[in-house]
Amino acid sequence: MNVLGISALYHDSAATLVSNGNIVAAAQEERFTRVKHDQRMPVHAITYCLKEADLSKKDVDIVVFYDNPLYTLDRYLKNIAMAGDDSEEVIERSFDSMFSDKLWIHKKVEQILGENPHRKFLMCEHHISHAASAFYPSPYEKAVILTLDGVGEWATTTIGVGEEEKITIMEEMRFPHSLGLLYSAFTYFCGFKVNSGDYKFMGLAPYGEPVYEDLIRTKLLDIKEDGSFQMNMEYFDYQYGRAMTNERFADLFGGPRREPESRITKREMDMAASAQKVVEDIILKMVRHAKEVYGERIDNLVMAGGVALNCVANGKIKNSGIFKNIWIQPAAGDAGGSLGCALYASYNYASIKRKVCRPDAQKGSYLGPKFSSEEIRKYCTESQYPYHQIEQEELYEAVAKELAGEKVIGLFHGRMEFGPRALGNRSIIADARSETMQVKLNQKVKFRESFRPFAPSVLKEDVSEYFELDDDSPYMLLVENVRKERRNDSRLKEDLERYDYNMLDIVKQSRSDIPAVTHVDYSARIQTVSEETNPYYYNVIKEFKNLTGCSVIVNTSFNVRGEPIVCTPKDAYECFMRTDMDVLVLEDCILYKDEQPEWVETDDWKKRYELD
Amino acid sequence: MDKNEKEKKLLKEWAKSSYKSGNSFHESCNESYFVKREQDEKYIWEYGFESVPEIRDLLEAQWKEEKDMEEILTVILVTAIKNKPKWKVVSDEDSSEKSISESVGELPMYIYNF
Repeated sequence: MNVLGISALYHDSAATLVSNGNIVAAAQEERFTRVKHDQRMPVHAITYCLKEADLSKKDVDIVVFYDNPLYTLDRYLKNIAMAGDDSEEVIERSFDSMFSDKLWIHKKVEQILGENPHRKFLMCEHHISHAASAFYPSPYEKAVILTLDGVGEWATTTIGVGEEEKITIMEEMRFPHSLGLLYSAFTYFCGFKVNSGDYKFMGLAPYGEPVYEDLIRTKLLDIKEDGSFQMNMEYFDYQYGRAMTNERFADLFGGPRREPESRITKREMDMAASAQKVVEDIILKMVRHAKEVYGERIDNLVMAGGVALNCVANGKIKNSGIFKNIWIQPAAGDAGGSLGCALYASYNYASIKRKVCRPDAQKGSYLGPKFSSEEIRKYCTESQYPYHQIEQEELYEAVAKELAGEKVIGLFHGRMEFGPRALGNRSIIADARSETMQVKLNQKVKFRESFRPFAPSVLKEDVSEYFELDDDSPYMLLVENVRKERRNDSRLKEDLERYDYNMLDIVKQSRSDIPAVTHVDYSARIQTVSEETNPYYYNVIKEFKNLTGCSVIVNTSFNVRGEPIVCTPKDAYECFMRTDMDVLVLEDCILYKDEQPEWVETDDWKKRYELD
Repeated sequence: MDKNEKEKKLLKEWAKSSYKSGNSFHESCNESYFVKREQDEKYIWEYGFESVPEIRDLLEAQWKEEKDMEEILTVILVTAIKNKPKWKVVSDEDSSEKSISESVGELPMYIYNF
């Protein structure tokens, strides 16, 4: 039974193929089209999924869409009614998308797969797609499920329970009251892009003080003890289709929105700290409520939805001990909905029995395309790019030596990751011990804002030697602190004042013996790497440890700012040549920058990628 | 000329007559803003329609006992059928629909992209 799950027409389109209840392939459309957050029908991702499974279009038994277009139509119309005299922009903004695309999603799919009277077309409730993506791949027979996102149909938050194949949503919060949209409103007001900028906004929070916390709680929100809340819509404009926030919001925070790309001031730092604190408090209240009401005999919490990518909040949930175990879908945003709805249809429509897998059924989230060594050598030879093919036993040591020499390495091997994080297969890696690496990577490799931290990959068995974490974090979804004995003394508040809130001066200061992955508050977004899940990446870090004694390296996604993570060897080579990376590793082939032919481009490639 | 101009005008008129404030912030709520869901609800359905009667059945089932929605039903049916996609097989070679990042300008459109 082959079930194709599709998420599309909102943002982060993706396709997932599930065969007889097993996840076979999943990929985001942006990786193929090179358009970040591409929302178009995932034609390329579908083609890839079928190829991976060696299936033809007629072999697809069920197609399932991750959202109910009729519920979305209902919300569209009721929003128009809520806007009353002011409805024009709401109508215009979504009219074509609603009536030409979403309502006709079944025909859109037919355009890709062709007509087939035997194929079933299903639609799945949006938050069930998220809930299913969190519960089914998790290693739990039974779990409480929390989904949190901007909005899907009407729901913005749901609490449910999963047991074997069954999922039941117990309660929900509804649009316009949304934790995702609240966070996005602050992201927008502080001059970052909604969605892709939410992550930067979270990274900004440790620089600030939560001085606006009370203001947010009293003027913008009414928060109940169970974490449910209402937003005071007098301060927001998104329900009218105009902007996230309005003039009243600006007045409340002492002036207009920060212009994108302009200097970040103390106000934005404090707003980030304040919003993060409120969001964490709300999530913790919800988790506590979910445990009390639905989890009396359940030790496991699973989460999905875009807000579940807030790894700082995830760390707080874990440390709270409310639930003994926690598992978060790595593709927690809408892309992961394709995976969730395909699994839900498999177990609840096709009646396939769910098998619980350990450590989980997500397969490290390595669910995308792979390129063989032969394909890579052919590509390099035909393109006349010099390379060195290295025997497997020597490869890891060769890469580790380059890392120890403070070289920046593009690492490309195995199947591409599904979800927003690079987990070692499409990653840029570097020496975490280097005091200059964070600035170098931000400015000369990633071309992104100087304040942004980098994440560590650490050998699973060594994680507690470096961080205040004694557990697995394979998907880089938990933030914990670097251990106290590894930290250097620093006084962030005094330094910020001394340097007039210039974050570059702050970032340059070493905060631990792994400074390149230690954020200004000593936190780190940790990826633990195990030999079972990713032997290649594990062996690279293991060899680095053998050489240096350190089992932590920097891991950042293989892309530049605004570019989707690389998918093919060609994408990887182009990114390598456009940046100050020193070495490119493509499977078992090593390419050195100083041996490559001169790289000439006819246009300004940076203009191809809209800044995120 | 916008082929949907008439339908958009009718939607605007309906919005004026059906206006309901979306801000209930100052209304009291005792304990919780969570809404309970029925426990035997269905979350997955077969989907598909080609003609006016088929989509009418789906929408009537969804909006039964919602008078405001009954008023706009005909407009929605006409709009849906007018905007039915023309048959064209799409391959990964010719996926050329405008991407969202090309079309939104400065505003984060997908938030409003119902």
